[in-house]
Amino acid sequence: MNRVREAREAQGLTQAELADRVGVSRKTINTVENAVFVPSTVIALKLARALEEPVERLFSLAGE
Amino acid sequence: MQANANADTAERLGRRRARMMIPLAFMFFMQQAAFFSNPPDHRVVSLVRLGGWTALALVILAGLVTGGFWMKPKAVRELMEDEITRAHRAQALSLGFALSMLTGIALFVLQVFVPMDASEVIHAMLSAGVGAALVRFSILERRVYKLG
Repeated sequence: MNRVREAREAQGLTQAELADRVGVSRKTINTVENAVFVPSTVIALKLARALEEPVERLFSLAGE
Repeated sequence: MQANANADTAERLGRRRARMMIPLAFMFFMQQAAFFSNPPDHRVVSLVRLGGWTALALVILAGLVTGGFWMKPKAVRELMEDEITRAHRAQALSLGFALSMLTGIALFVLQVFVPMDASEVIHAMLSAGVGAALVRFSILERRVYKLG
């Protein structure tokens, strides 16, 4: 479960802009948003920093 | 600006890599068919054919393991080698290894009943391993690019 798309759209960022801020490819952002891929802790922390959200608000366990 | 250009290039090349793997796998498997339908002998044409197969297998293996596009800038290659690509590669190589081992086991049993050359067994194991890894990697990459 993740709120990356929601947080990104709240910031008014495109996937490409967020990818640029985090230093990953747009493919990574797209697959994380679509829950196809669970990122590493490092990428999760970078996403949280780029989106100015605590990491535990961006990512949560299913059912929580 | 440069970062955007690198990201665009990485995306374009990543898509191209995913697209070109299926025809490459097809070409690779066609060579296997030629090998087994017309086993090589010591004529020059056979040696050239074997050399071609070996070269293609090496290029595919190197591309699979390293990501390819060796002449592109490091920043572009790093973007192409993101976490999900590395995860896909690990899955693909894992499948390739398993299929290669299974082929080896199957041929080990089969050679009790049907005599085989070592070269045929090695050829089949390499083909199964490299080919399966290539196809799997391509399918996984194409699937994520289809998301948009």
